[in-house]
Order: sequence, then C-alpha cells, then structure tokens
Amino acid sequence: MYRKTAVVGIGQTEFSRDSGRTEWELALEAILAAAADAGIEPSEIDGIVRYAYDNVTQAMLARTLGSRDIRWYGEIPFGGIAQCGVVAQASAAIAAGIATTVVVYRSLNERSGVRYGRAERNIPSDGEFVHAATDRSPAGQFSGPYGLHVPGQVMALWARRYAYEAGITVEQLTEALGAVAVQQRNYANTNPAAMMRDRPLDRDAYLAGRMISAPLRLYDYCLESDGAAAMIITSAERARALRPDPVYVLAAQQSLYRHSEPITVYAADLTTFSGPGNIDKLYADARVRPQDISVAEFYDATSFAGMTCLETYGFAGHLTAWKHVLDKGIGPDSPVPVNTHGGHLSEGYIHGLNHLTEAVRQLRGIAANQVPGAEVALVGCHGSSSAIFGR
Amino acid sequence: MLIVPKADALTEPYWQGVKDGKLLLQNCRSCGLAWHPPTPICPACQAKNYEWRPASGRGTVYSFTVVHHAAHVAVARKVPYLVALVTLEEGPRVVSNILSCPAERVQVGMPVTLTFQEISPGVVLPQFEAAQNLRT
Repeated sequence: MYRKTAVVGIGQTEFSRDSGRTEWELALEAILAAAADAGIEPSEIDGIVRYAYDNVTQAMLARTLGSRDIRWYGEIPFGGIAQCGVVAQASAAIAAGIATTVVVYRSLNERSGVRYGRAERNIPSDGEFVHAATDRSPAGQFSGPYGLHVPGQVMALWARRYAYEAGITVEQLTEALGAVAVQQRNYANTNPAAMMRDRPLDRDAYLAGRMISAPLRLYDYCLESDGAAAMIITSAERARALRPDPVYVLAAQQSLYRHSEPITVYAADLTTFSGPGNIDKLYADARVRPQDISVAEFYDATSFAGMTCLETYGFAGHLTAWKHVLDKGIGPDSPVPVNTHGGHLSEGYIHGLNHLTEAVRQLRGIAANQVPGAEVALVGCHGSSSAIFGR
Repeated sequence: MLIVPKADALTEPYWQGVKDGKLLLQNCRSCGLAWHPPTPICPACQAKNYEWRPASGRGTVYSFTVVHHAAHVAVARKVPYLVALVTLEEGPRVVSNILSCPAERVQVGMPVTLTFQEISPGVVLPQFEAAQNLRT
C-alpha cells in the first residue's frame, strides 16, 4: 500500500452543540467541500467507506452525489476504531483497482441527537425493569446491572489500573492527564474551528472540574459535538494530476484480536492496547520509525486514551507516558506534538475523522497550529486502527 | 427503574448457576482453560468440549471506578457508586460492585470473595465483598 494512494480533498462543517440540521445535510456539506478541495466533481466518487455507526448510508450518498456507479462500499463497526480503518479499506480498494475515488466521512449530531456518553442507547429507559443484554463490556448483561454503562467509565477502570501498575499515585496520574488536557486546550484556543477556541483552561481549572468517573474528571473527557468531516482518497497517480500537494498514505491498518474490541474489560492486560507486532508492522509498512513522526493525532475519547497512545506507538515505554507528558509534554516544542487541533477534548468529537483531516492539514503546511516542516503524520486509535501519512 | 440482566441461549447456564448460588465458568476439557464471558467454543484451542464449573469465589480487585455522573436514568439517584473489575482465582475477570466495604477502603489488589445479592425478588447478581479478614 506504500504511497499507492493519497488524500486529495478534505472538508468539514462547523463543529457545534446543536447543528440544527440533519446528519445527511452535514455529511453532504463536508463531502462536497472535500470534492471541491480535491478539484473533482462529486459524481466522480465511485467508492464509499463509512463508519457503521453513521446514520448516513451509502444509499443516501448514491442518491445525492450524482454518482454514476459506486463500485466499492464498505463499513466498519465498533465506533471510533473505524478512524483509520476507513483509510485502510479505501486505500485497499484503490490499490486493488476496484475503485478510483473513494470518500470517507463521519457525520453526527452527537450532542443534539443521540449522546454516546449516555447508556439509554443500549439499555432501554422505560419500565420498572429494563434489560441489559449481549456481552458488550459496558451496558451488557455482565456489566449493565452493576452500573458499568459507558466507555468513559471503562476508561476510568483502565486509568486506575494504569496508575497501580506504573507505581504512581492517582494524584500523579491526574497531574499527567491534566497536562494533556491543558495543552490540547491551548491548541484549541488558536484553532478557529475548535469548539473550545474561546475557552481557556489551566491546571487549576482542570483540577476544579467535577469528578465524572473517578479518577477521571470533566476535562478528561471528549466534547459532545454536532458536525461532519470527510476526505477524498484516490490513486497516487491521479492525486499528482489533481494537486501539487497530495498527502500520501504510507500505511494504514486495522487490528482485532481476542478481547481487543473497543472498551473491553476482559483483556488479560488492560494497560496494553495493541496486538503483538501490529505497530511494528505499521512502521515497517510505512518505512519510517517513531522518531520520524513529525506530528501525531491520537484518538482521545479521554485524556487517558490519548496519552497512552504515546506508549502504543513507541514514543514512550510501557507505563511511562505519564512521565513523558509531564517532562516533555505534547506541545509545539515537544518531541512529538499531539492533537494539534485540540483533539476530541477541545476541538470537537467527530469520531476521529477530524484527526485525519488535521493530519492532512499538517502535511500540507496549512494547520492552525502548524508543526514547522511536518513530513510524516501518524493517526491512531490505540493500535486498533492506525495510519501514517507522508508528503 | 432497575437494570436487570437478560440471558440468552449461550449465557442461560451462567444465570441459572447464579440462582443456584454458584458463579459458573466455562472450562475446556481439552486444554483446561477457564473463561468469561461465555463463548460457543474454547477461545484458546477451539474445542467445543467444555463444561460449566463453579468458580472458587476467591479473587482480587483488578481496578475500580467511583461513578459520580450517572450515565443512565436508572442510576440517577444511586450515584456515587463503585464499580470494580475482579480477577478470579481461575483467571477470568468479572464486573462487580464491592459490597460490605466503603468505597474509600477499596484498593487495587485487595482480596475479595464471592457473595450474591438479590437486587429484586428473583433477580440475583453475583457480587464480591472484601475478604473476611479485611472487613471491619
């Protein structure tokens, strides 16, 4: 897959608490913007890869984009870990010659509509007795009756175990997570697209945030957002014909192994988030090493999830990311700036698609918080899906 | 409003065991693995040759969280409450609350033992409580 495909268009809507519009309309705004950015007609799109969570279907796009024929369409389950899976599947289809021009997108009214931080979407909320079914790890029959309902609570379980195994106090962990939350807010404060652009956050304000699911507090959690983002991916040859600055896919992958499905509580070790060897393969496929990464955009449902990606992707040793963020940080002058748009914590929660568009902006050199001379960008969701892009 | 477990064909023996006062785990007759949550075949050796065996009831707290912000209307008046992960002596992990122990005394690594809690007439959950020698 190395350099066989490239991102040629990105688009997004405003990120807000209440879009006042349908998810279909939001998706189309982002996709049409991405097509215009790529310099193609929307009807040239012949492939669609979507998040299974998205309410906007392939058929809704086929009806509205003027496409003559969609020759490849796929979808990826499990929510946020579709993040780089959509890139992997789009690129695979193009590299295999099945499709030429594939759109990937995410559109959601996640604040004004169904809120992922609530469990009523999985456990009914009418009646004296309501059932928790299936074996999903929050909100299933083995967890829901105990009050384990949403991913944010599971990540709190991961976080406390992490502190225990790292041999640090919960207070030390909190300082580290606060450093992440504050730096991402700093990035958002200079990103005009960020929901939190006008809302500063310092350490004291972070610590004053109310406890949500101890040891995680308010500012450890992602925002809830309405909005959409989209990317157009095509072959490297076509990309070079379309624009002078295509962003090449160096590698993209998905990973699934026993109990690695997202938000697990059953994996043998809940402080390690990637399968054996899959990150080594990612770097080998991309022909780069961790020290070659200019900028990283990590899936941050919580500050903890983003922080521990520093370990997953080889920037810090196992159980040492807390020290990395305290000593070196994730800011513009750190060894690897992370979530330069503000991430889910402070730009908006577009289910990881906004991390992909930020990586593209960084490699085009047009990001709001541009890392000077960025050459290689990493996007990843805890090793469950990952992509490396290059100029 | 009360959240109760809904069994399915695969998990029915587990919940029947709970009614009988046992925490049952699938045990592979071929390779000896004990596992949870239930699956149709052994996750280690893929044998279909398993039996349900009661767990010893001894475990340790792997982690816990204290939920202050209710995420479902059914627990809106129960917060704050504690949810723990317990690693059983046999290896598998289960979700539990920790009974008979105030939240501020719960620690990662502390030994716990199996008990049962009737959350409503006829609705029973396996639960864990601080091991006898730690209770005060």
